[in-house]
Amino acid sequence: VDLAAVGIGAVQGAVFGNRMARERHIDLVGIASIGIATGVGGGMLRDLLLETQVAALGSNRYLATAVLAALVGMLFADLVNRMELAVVAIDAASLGIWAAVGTYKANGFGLGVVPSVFVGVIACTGGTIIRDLLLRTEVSVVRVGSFYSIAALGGSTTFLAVERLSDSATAAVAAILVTFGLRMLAYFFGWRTPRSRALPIPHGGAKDKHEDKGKDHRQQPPVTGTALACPSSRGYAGARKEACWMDARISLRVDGLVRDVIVDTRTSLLDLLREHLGVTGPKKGCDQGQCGACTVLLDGRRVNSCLALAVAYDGGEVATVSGLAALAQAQAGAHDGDGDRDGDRDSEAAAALHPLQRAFIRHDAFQCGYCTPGQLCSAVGMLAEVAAGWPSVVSADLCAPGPAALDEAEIRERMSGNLCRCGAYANIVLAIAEAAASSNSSSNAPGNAPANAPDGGGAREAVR
Amino acid sequence: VRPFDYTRAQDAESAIRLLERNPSAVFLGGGTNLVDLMRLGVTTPELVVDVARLPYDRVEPLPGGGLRIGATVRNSDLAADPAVRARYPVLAQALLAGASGQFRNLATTGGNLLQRTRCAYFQDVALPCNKRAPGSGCPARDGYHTNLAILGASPACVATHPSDMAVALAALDAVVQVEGPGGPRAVRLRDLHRLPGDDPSRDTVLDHGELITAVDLSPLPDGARSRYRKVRDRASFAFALVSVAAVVEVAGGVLQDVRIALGGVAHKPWRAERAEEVLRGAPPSEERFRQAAEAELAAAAPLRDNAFKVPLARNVMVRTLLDLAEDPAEGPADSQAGGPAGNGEAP
Repeated sequence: VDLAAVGIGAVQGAVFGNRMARERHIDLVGIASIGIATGVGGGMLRDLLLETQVAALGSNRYLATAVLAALVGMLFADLVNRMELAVVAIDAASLGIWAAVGTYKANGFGLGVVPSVFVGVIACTGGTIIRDLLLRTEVSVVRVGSFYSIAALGGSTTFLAVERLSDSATAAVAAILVTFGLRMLAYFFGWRTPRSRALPIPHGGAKDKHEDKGKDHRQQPPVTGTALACPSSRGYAGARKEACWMDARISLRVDGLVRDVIVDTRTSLLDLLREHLGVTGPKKGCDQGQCGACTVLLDGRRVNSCLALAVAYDGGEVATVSGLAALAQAQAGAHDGDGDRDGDRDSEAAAALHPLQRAFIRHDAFQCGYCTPGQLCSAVGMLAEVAAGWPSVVSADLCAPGPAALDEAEIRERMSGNLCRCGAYANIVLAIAEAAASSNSSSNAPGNAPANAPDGGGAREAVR
Repeated sequence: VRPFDYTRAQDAESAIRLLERNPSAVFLGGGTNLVDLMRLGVTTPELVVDVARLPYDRVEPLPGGGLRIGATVRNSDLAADPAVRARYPVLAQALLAGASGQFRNLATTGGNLLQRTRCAYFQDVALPCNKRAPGSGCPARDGYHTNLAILGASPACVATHPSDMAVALAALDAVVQVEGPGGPRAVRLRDLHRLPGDDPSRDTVLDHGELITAVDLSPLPDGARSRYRKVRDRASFAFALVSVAAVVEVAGGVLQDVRIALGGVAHKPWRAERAEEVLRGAPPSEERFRQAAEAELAAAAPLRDNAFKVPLARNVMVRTLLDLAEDPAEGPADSQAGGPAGNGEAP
């Protein structure tokens, strides 16, 4: 049981570390270290607090298990990410084990009730604290979050209460059940610990004394400025899990990778990509939708990521300029009739370029390049719109069946949401026209055609 | 941006209840305007209730031949809808003339109607604005007002409503379906937006907590033709200086049905009722169209720098009506919406 708990912790740590592996340049040693931290870190802290022999150092098995489990977790990170519920459940069970063992041990050393519970909770959360410190990411247990330490607290307390009435084994089972139950209920019902907040203390008395000292009290921010009154989550009938809190945990697939992240609700999709995930393909030009440099494909459609609140697109699929090649590859694969995307193909795609990217290079369709990622994503989205038969305001016949003929006027109108300060428009138009013509001649309707296209896309005769 | 709570509404009732309970809560659609306004500090909600995923994302036929447009239908989907393109071209053209492809993929029907003015003073929290901060004054009258109102303005506010879609819907006599704390109600689109009067802070007649769920279109008479013509400072991706949405039915040599709405000239989509009166039952002619336009614009009260909108609006109205009144078999003389045709005689 001990070893299983260590292994589960290490796998979790490795999966977590793997999500940041790319931008933090984490190597194999790093993954192993995180595995040790999350696998045995909590127990080590517990034993150090109790000033006893650290259990993990008592045999060869613990450290080896942690490292091995971490490597397994790293290799199968994608698989683990997909089994979210199972992972949460297993994790909740191991949380219960840590709570029970930690509290038992502390109590056995003659510690009082409160210190024993404290040690039990530290045994549960210590691993993730060390992990977050190692990764220099925000320490998750101090943030409004997943009810993790509260579940551990419940388990530890239960252990002591039940042990009074019966024996340690029964108490351990009860502690594990309570911890597991609390954590799972929190998961399903989105229970959150309340945010910190300050009491709004009136400023009146002090104000009179300091009058006429050149200080404008009206500009004093209200004490409650960032700790807004927030009704309890029970008040939000029919609302979603993340209701009410200004931080939200969201999950997005970005260029094929699942990314889980806690964001402030104010974060735009653009800032999430650039500042939180290190995906810097989309550029910030105007930050108000006027320039198009931030254009990405969101669920297959081009949008200004600066105007999309990240939290509103939880569960969405984002393709940035970095994912266009893989997108083209996937579409080509789908057209060959074999839709499966194995690892080889993915790495091939990463090295290759989207046909539009090649056309941009061939036509020298950029100067400084700042607008180019947005131009490319916008053009890919635009060509899908054309393939779906969407007209533009310059289309002669609004009701013409099938894709519009993409002449220069059409391309300029449809791309008007993307500005180029260098004025590379002439070549951008040429590059798009060429890419459109070549995709037409291979009767290649984009697989990500907008959802309710008038006639669902599909192959049709070349227009030009 | 001030911190705010976010929740994704599961159904209209819970969304409405959330707003009812919190005077500082707002609905979020596509966010193309609201997110910008929050960033500018113009709108500072405590709670953002995301209604974009509510199940109002379809365009459905209504009994009797009309069309019901769900409030969360994205502008791009609505413009591409085969029924809209075939039967209400004025609406498809207006949508396609609005913003950019990226915007249209985000923007919703309901959100489009409820977008705020782009008046520079409204958007700058460092400056006075009666719409944003009631009673603080209106610098636009003596300041930058090239793109502001010439009709229906008040001393308190000369803002224009920026939507293209709403102008087409006004000409189509659309009806807005609203759910709210007091139950459902229907509002004619032409009555949805207010004139500024002495309370420009309110754009529409909707109360806090009322949620647009759909826009209904009644069928147009057989033989009716419609189009949208927009004039702007550049060829694409700009707000209208002046736009015209018109529906015309010529039968027996006279104008049976004529409905005209102007954009870019007022605090709301401006239904040109005086012009319609002049035209109804009359034989179509350029002279008559000019008289009608002039009758409508007699009430115009332009400011120092936007008097150009008066002849511009007149010319765009005449040109649009001429296009619609001519025999469709002969084909339109000018297939480009907007463009210099309307500018020709502007001083």
